Amino acid sequence: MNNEEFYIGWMGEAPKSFVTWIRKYLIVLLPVIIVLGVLLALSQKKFGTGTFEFGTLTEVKGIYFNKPVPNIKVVDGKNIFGNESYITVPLIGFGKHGADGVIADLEKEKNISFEGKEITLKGTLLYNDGKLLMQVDGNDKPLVNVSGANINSVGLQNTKELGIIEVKGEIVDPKCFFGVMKPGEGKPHKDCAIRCILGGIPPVLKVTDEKGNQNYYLIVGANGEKMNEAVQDYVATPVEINARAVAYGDWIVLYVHPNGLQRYSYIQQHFGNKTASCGVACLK
Amino acid sequence: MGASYLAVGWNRQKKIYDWLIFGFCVLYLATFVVLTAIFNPDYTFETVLIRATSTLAVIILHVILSIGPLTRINKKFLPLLYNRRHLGVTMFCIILVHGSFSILQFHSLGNENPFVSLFTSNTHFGSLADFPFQALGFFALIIFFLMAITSHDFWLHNLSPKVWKTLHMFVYLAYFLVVMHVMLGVIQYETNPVFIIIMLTGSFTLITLHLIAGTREVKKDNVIYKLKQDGYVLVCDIKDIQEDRAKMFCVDAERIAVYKTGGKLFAVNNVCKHQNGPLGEGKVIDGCITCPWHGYQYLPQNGQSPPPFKEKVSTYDVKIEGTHVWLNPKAYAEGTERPGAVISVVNAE
Amino acid sequence: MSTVTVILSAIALYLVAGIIFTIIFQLKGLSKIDEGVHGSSWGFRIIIIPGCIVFWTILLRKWIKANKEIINPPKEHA
Repeated sequence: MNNEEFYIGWMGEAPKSFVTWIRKYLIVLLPVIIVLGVLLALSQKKFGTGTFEFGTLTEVKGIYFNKPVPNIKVVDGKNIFGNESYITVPLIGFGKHGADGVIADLEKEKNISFEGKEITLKGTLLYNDGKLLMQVDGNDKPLVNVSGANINSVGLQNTKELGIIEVKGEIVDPKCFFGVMKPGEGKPHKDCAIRCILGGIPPVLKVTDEKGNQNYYLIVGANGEKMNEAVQDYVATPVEINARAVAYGDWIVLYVHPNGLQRYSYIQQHFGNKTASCGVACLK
Repeated sequence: MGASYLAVGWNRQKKIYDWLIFGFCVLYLATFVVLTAIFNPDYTFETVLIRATSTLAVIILHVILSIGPLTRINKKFLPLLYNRRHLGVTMFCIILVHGSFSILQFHSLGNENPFVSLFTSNTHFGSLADFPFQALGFFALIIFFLMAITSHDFWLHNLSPKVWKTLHMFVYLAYFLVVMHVMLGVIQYETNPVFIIIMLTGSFTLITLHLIAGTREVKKDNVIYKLKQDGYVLVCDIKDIQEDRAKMFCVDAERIAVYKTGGKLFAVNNVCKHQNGPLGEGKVIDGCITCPWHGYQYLPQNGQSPPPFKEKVSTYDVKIEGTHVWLNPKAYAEGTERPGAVISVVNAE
Repeated sequence: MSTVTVILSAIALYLVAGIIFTIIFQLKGLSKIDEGVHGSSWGFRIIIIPGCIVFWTILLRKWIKANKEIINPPKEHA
């Protein structure tokens, strides 16, 4: 190094050789930063198509049911047999809360039970992949109207036993998954899904079949009791569920057997024994 | 330092440096956000913000951590080192956006305090696949926070240089936490190998740079000086040292800088009081030894910073026999005046 | 209360104490512990606030020590 060229930061100008060198460094750094930006941006998984109509309130009229999860059934038209068909809209609360609290408050305020009654609710819709949910927030004054008399809901309560099934999938919180967050599943979202489910949002099992199509199941206990706390350790990780499946119109509900919820490891299932025996052999 | 404190001692170089940081950050963020919006039209604003800031911060962290070894390998990188703290504070601000938005998005509006939720939602600390990676990021953020808030020289003096330096060495722990945060987090979700390849390339580059720089230092430190008499060791020839410059010798585990200036040789401790910069790689400017890292100055004859500054380094005895330079590694108290060794005309020839 | 809640509450309390300390320290103590503070800029005083809140115990110790030295100045060596 030239004896005269000495760099001091507190001086106004750096010696020429230093300036030239740093300029070269920056010329190398510049494309590196751009390439990294391009690579990282383009390599992300595709975001889901879910929608959360944040800020838009919609009025929805239907029959309220508290089981298997708080929901309203909305007339959708008539099916080919001329019977009225319905879509089920599960209700969820504000933030990471279930709808139970809001509904209970409203019932208390009106001093009636909403079960089986026609009700008009105002809330925020979220939807994806053929499923529609509604957020009801106490601050939005969600109750527009509730009929005094019970509706004959026998037809609505039609259920179909699908037998005992065993399915593998991932437990998600439907609020984030169907609209609020992207991604609303997988490892990065795990903590949030747990917090949502612990807050009362009904857990949903997402099952992807071999063709890549996804099916969704509501999860409750063997006797229809809530499983929100029981699933905490099984959220956003591969699980296997053994349950009685019952179709409630357009949603299938899984009544999970005791011990019917297990972690599932693809590696262990397919290579587990081989890996173990290989490991033992290697050790020997 | 004894002069009055300023928030930032602005000068032309600092301004250029900060504008460059700003320009590069905007360029990266714009590239990432615009491309995501074009190719991933279903994006949500929060996710893009969380990802754009996190990836940018990881890139800046790699730049920051490479500056140290790069300057040891080539002095021409010194202008990057001088204002490194600006880069550090910038990175902290960016990562704070990432951390705050993540806690807001993933933990707020629930049935638990967001910070409690951070540690109690996912408790699979024993599993790699399910590990609560957000906690790792949180601890890294805390380290970056402590570093950022103590980056002013006021803290260097009031926490003591030793504590300050130790605190700032935690950046390596933070880096490890960041790598694990990425590996146990988003990499388990994304399917494109680009992410893991970039992360590993970054880590590999940093480790290599540190190893290269480290082995060079170790080589210098391991030179053994055989000739000894009366506590002095023979270190070099007079003409090995340039005027107003020094050579560093590591004798009995003491790093000593021997300076040649104004027809004399002086020996002072090699370690700058500011941030352990190598004084032996400095230069005598206006009669003062000037540290190459941040320009801290010391008088060669007594190792004291000129008033109003108050830093002091140890001094040593040095003598000349013929053209040979002899050095005594026994340190005098910091700031002790030593006569130095006069270079006579005969010696210099 | 869970362990996490207890730890986080303790940290919150420490930081609240730090905020109170920082207000008093900025008004009275700062110039006593470091000569560099004389004639320093407002920007400097603002920039060190987060540090004062976090490291208030260290600064408090320095402040107490500085006060003692004013009352009983350390004896100069002959």
